[in-house]
Order: sequence, then structure tokens, then C-alpha cells
Amino acid sequence: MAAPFSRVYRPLWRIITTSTLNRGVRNVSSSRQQLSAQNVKPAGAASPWALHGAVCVQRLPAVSQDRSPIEEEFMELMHQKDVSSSERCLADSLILLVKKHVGSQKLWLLPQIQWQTGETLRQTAERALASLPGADLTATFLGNAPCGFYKYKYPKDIQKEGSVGAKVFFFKAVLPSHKHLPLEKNSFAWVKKEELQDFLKPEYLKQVRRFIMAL
Amino acid sequence: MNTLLNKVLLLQNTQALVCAGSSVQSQLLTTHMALGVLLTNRQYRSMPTHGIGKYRHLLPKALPKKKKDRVQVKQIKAATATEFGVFNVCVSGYDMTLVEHYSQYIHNLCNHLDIKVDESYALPTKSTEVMLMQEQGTKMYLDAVLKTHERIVQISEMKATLFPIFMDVVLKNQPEGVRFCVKQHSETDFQARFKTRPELEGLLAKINN
Repeated sequence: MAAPFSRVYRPLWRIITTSTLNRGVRNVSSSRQQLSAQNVKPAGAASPWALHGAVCVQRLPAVSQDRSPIEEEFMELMHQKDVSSSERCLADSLILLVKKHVGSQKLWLLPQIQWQTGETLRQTAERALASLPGADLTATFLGNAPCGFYKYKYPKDIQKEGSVGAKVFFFKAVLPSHKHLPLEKNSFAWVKKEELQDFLKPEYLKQVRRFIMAL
Repeated sequence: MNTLLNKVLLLQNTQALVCAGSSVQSQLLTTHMALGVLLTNRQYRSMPTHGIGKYRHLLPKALPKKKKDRVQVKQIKAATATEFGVFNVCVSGYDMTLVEHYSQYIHNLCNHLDIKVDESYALPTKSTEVMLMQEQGTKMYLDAVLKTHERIVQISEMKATLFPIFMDVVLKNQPEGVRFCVKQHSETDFQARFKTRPELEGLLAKINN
């Protein structure tokens, strides 16, 4: 998983200085055959790592002509500072973050949920998206292969014989850009790549940053 | 003995000829006479400079130009567990420059990422006539003609791990006014590119009936 990223990531930097007047219609329709990437754990060998599937939902930027100064000001007033609005910075791609209880703390994370036996990790990620409270997000998943991975150990007092920590696999998904999504303020955030460091823990951020492209 | 003598004589003769030839040639060159008369400077294989001027064997082999055969139906590769089969990325829109540039961008991106591009072709332009009703009366008159251009980039054997990255990049750079979709390639897609032959179909129907 590291190899494709290091090759693709750096040279594809682009600076988009365009902003929007109205959202461009972007219809993501992929009716291709689904690969069967079965990730079923063998029944006998129980590893001490719990598997989680997480989804990286992106709201794509709208590519269009530059805004006039009045429109700029208006946009500033309306949406810039409100982190939970999905119409924030239309020139950049935004990622959905969720505030979640992990152990005793409340952390900002990408939406994730525990894997259950018998389902593929992508189905876990879809469930993670569907189980978000209050948001009916129908996102198109970009593939059956995960794009990122994060491994963490539980704190010492929670660690038992069979559970050392958890491994999280991230899947990429894309939102159709013309939908308005009212979300709760305190638990959801639409965040640019540069703002991620204000929300995520450093170790987590390091892994997540590898697969998020800010083009 | 005789053969030896003959050979020696031959050698001497040819050497003399060679000298004479070269002198004649140089004379010709200096006197600017028409070089219609070719003097063969035969070199022997034992000469160290044998074949010194040859260069035809160094040039790439230029194959004789074939006439275009009928386009064969290529075997459509099936998907494996780690790779996709053959799929088409279709870019369509009303503005030809945008569509063309976007499809070129996708093609170049594939080349850069070492993704195999089987074909890259354009489908025929479809014209849509926009007709408006007249203010009084029921007649419709032609207001505008919208042309839908479509370009297809056919990709095969793409790794499943690379696909989300590829899609991400392509989607983030999609210009407005351009529709983008990814479809599995099928036999019908291939056949749709060809013109129908009504006489042939008529004859076939007659034969079958």
C-alpha cells in the first residue's frame, strides 16, 4: 500500500485557484463489475487485533471560474467558519470527521466501525457510513481495495489475553456534490487537508495524511 | 604451381586495376566529368577495410506497408482477483475542447502511472436540436443545435489497489460541463462502433427465411 502512494502522491500536486458560482454537476456513475476482495478471517486463528473498517468520505471541489469580490465576501460570511457545513471551501476537497468516544476520551476520527465475521471490509466501511447518526449520506465507494491503514494498541489496563489493539482499514468514498447535508455541529466536521492537524491526533494524522490528496 | 601463379597474377592484376580504378576515379572527380560510368571498387573479405562503408544493416528494419486488415474482435480479458478486466472511461459533454482535453489528460495520466491503455477513440458526435414553440401557433422552430461529443479511453489490467487513487485524481480534476463515467467493456460496446450494413442484413434474413 505504500508503494503506489509514494509514486503518485508528490508529482500530482496542483494549485486550484478557481472558486465557484454554482456547484458543478458531477455525476459519479460507476457500473463496473465488483471485484470479490474477500477478507474473511479464518475461523480458527484468532489474532489479537480487532479489525475496523473506516471510510474517508470526500466532498469533491467544484472546478469553475473565479469569483468576483462581492461573491467572495458573501461566501466568507456564509460558510467559511462553520466547520460542519459541507459547502465550506468549494475550491478544496473536504473530508468528513466524526467525534467519537474511544475508551474514555472523545476523539475526532474518520467514521469507523468494528468488523463482523462474514462481511468484507468494504461492507464494514459502508456500514460505518450508514450508521452515522443523523446523516443520510449516500457516497460512491471508489474501489474494493483499502487506501490506508492505521494500527493502534489499547492502553495497558484494557489489554487482555486475546486483544492487543485494533487495526483500521480506510476506504475512499466520494459524495455527489449537489446535495445539501445538514449535520450536527459538535459531532461532525468537514475539514480541509490543512486543517486536519487541528482535529486529529499526530500518529493518526500521519497515517491518514498519506492517502488524502489535496489537489 | 600454376594455380598459385594464376592467383598471384590475379592479385597483381586486380591490385593494378584497383590502383588504376582509384586513379581514374580521382581523375574523374577532378575533371568534373559525368559519373555515369561506375567503376566497381571490389574489396576482398581479407582486406581489413572490407565492408567499411556499409550502413544499411544499422538502420531499423523498414517493413513493407501492409494494407489495413479488417479490425479483429479482440478477446476481452476477464477480471482477476487483483486486477480489473477491460473497462471504458467515457468522457462526454457539449464543449469539445473541454472533453478533448480531459480525455487527453486521463490518457496522459495513465501513461504516467504505467496503466495500460488499450485504445483511445471517439464516438460519433450526436446532435440534439433544441426546438421552441412559437408564441402564437403550434409550430416548433429550431432554436439551437447542441452537439454531444464523447471520448473513450479503454483501460485494461489495472490493479485494484491503484484504482481508487486513479479515480480520486480524475474526479478532482473534472471540469464543469463534462460528464465522466466508468463502464465495463462489452462486446456490444465494440460492435456499436461499426456501421450497420443494411443490404448484408437483408440478405442474411432472406437466407434464414
